Amino acid sequence: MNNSEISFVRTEMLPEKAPPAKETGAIKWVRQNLFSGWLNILLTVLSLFAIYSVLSLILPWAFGGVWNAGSLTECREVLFSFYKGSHDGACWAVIEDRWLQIMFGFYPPELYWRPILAFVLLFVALAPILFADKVPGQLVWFSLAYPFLAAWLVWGGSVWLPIFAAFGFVAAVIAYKILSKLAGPIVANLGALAAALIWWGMLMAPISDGLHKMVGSSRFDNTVATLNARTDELPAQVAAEDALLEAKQAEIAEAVAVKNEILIEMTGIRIEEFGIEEQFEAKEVALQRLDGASESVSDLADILDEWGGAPAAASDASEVDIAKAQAAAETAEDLVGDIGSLLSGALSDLAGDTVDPSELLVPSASQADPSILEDVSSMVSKAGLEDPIAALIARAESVTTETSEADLKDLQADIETASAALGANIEALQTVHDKVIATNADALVEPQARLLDQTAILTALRDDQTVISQSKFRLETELSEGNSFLSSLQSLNEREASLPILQGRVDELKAELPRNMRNLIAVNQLPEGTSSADERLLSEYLGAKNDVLSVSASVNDTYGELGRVGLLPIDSRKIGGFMLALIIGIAGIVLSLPLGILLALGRQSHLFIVNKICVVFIEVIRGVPLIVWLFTASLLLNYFLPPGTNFDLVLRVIIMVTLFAAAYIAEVIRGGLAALPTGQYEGADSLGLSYWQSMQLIILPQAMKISIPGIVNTFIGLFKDTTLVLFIGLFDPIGLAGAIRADTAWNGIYWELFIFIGLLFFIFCFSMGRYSLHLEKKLQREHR
Amino acid sequence: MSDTTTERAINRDAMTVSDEVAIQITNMDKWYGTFHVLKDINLTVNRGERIVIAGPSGSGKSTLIRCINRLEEHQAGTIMVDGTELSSDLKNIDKIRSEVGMCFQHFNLFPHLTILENCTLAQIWVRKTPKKEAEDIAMHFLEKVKIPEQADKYPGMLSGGQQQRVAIARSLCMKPRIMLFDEPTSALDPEMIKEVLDTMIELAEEGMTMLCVTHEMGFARQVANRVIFMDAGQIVEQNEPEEFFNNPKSDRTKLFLSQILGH
Repeated sequence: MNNSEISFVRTEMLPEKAPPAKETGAIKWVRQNLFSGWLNILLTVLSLFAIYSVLSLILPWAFGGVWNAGSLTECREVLFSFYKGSHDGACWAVIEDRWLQIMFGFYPPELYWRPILAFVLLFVALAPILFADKVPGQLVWFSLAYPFLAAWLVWGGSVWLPIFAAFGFVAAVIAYKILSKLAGPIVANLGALAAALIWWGMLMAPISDGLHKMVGSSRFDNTVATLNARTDELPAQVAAEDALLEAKQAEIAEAVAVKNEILIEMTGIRIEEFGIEEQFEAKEVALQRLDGASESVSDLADILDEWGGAPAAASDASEVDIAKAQAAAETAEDLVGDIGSLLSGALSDLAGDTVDPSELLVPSASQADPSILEDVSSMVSKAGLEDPIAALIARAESVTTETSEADLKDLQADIETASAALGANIEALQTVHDKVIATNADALVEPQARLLDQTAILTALRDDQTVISQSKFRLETELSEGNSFLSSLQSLNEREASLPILQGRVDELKAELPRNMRNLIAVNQLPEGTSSADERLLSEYLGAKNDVLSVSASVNDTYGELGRVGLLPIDSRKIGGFMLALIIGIAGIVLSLPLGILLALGRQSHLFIVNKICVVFIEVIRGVPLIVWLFTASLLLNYFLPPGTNFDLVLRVIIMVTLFAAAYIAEVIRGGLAALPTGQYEGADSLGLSYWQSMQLIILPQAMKISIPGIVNTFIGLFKDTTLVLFIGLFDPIGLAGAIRADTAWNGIYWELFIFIGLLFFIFCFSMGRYSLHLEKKLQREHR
Repeated sequence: MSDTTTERAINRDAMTVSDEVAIQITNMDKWYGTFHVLKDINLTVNRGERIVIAGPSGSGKSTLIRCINRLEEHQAGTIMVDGTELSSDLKNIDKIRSEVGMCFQHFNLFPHLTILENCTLAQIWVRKTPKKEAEDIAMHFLEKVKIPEQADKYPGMLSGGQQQRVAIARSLCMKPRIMLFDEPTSALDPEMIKEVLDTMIELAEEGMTMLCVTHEMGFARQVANRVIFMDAGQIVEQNEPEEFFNNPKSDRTKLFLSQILGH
């Protein structure tokens, strides 16, 4: 080979070119994505058919639904007046009627603004965390304060409580700052914990009580005066509301009457339709009987044909033949009887249950469509139907097993003629029916519109009624609570004055008590053989001590209410619905993430004890169903807590849900940690970063990024699992659906409620999923 | 291995070795489980020395230099770095780590931070340098390794050679007195090796104390003032580069050199 043949030098580099032009646009997309091969074509067609079948069922149901009705029965009335059973419709009225309850549970309606405000502020608090690059950083302070603010808004009570609770954290931070300068980090951490615990456990309650007492004493006279004035004027207001309520109820009754009139009017328009519909059944039954008779005649003819006249046993025949002949003879006898009874049955059906076409009522319809009258007159008259059958009956009576085949054929032909006439009659009736419906449909449009208007009016009236009865209930509650508060205020001085006396009695009894018994807290702790006098002394002493405690607690309560600067407290039992799901879900999410991170780090730790504690915690929490933990929270926890502690149920549920989710989050984050190359740890170590610094700055940001899908998945699961609180007696949306269905007005409704609840959950879970995708995309910096 | 050398004249005069001891390793042993990785290591490094550690893979070279900043724990003997003994005392470890810079074979840059953030992070959190000042220092060293224009990019957008130079700059930002290099060029394309070696040579010319595990024998010959040959967890031979390459004493070294320079 010559050298010049293989040597090659490129003198200029090739420029870039556009890719070859192919078919583009929608057609290419459809061909590539929907019809790229036989299997795909088949799948596409099948899927489109499946989608069509589902939507053609659901969409008319959903969009043809009723929005204004007071009960399921009313819903069905309206639906019937529109569709007359031809298709079903959704009864969305239940949502219209009860959506506030599904949202807020039994929270007082006049205070809805509090959870709503808390919900709106939630987004302000989330903004600096979720969209850190678009929001000023100072907002983080609001995010930190938000949990306390939100809890205060939802549960109400004194403003001191959230401020003091938050101050516990401030105390911890201050203690940490001071101690970390004086001693090592471990001492500083322990000191911070101790400062917070001392504040919450020992200082908070006396300071808060003192504040209440101070404010309360200064308000005492004023409050008593206002309460007196208020309780005096309240009964009149309640009576006024009562009168309003009665008037409203009368209005509603009137509106219901109008609605019923419209329904009756519509029934009147349809009366011809209903009349005709009644005609069908008798005629169709008669037609079936005639056909049966014709069949019997032909069967009889067959038997007679086979046996050559009357089936009779020949004398020389075998036993089998005799048996066959007898059976045939019996069948023939039966058939003869059937023919007669079927024919007379058909006649009586027609005679009793149908009317002569001339008597068929189509006056209003025929006015709109005169051709209906022609159709009616074209029908065979009742006599024209009945007379041939009557004649046939007479002939059928003469039929015996001896009747000739030709006669039978004749009879069958005549029966078929009669049946054909009846069939033609039915068909003509059907035509009339269709025409009547068509004309009625036009006539019904206007009353249907009026019915819708009337139901809307009714809904508005019922809403008014709800508002009035709520305000009446509020006034009544205010009255009864005012009265009881007034009486506890009036006895306040007395109770306070009795305290030193009671305390003196306690001291007296204590002095009398033998020294070794003074620390006992129950009579059954006494050693055996104690004298009954001592036992009596101890029980008196304990009783006196109890009196002091309960009186001072009641005094504190009264001062607490008197000196409250803040919002009306709301009991946890009243919090329900979607609001409850959100409270538990969001609190669980916010708290479980840091806890999960700590657990994941603990599980990776080389410190044996820490590691094993985390492993056991994660495995135990994860290995037991959430519902068991919820039951533990609601029932068992009371056994472990000191007697008399009142520990809010919602708070307990939040703690359990948080622990449960944290175990899952820990495992998800552990996966993210394991996915990081060891070089990252070494890189951080070699720069001299401490463990917590390298975790916070290097390891966790990357591990969390890897774990985002898993974390969000856990959060979505947690949020949906909040519906499980139904089983421990909290009213989550599902529990409320049960409560709504227990109402007689809405008994029997399922789909509408569950679809609405499902939609609420879907909106939140879908948003979380979308945000996680957004976050993943934003963090997709490294091109690995 | 190829002889990747720099074309320019190297200023060996600047590379003075002082009498001050930077690292003192005495009778050091290390085991991985029951496997005896490092056996009775004795090594004294003076300030300003440039030491190249060579040897077959699995001979314990990397483990040795990783012991010096306690990425690996030794079980017997003592290691003194700048007069501080390496023990399990966390305070000493963090102090030594911030004085000893380290470059890894796979760079170990932090992919979620920009180049600039990679360089300022440790200054801000360990040295408590104000952010502005830390950025100035970082830019100074990025200019030194000749990639200031990449400061706002993420590591994933850079070539291997650039990433390794960023890793060197990141270590230098902590103003270390000793630099450890753990096969800094092994993961790089031949075209990029040179740019990293040039950076290391510049560093050497400034009198930095350097311990370098590498297979770049050209670099060893030009820059090192001592070459250490290790095999089976022991120091087999150490000598000045000229003597080491031209006149190896032990048979194991001869075999190694014949294999590495033989073609």
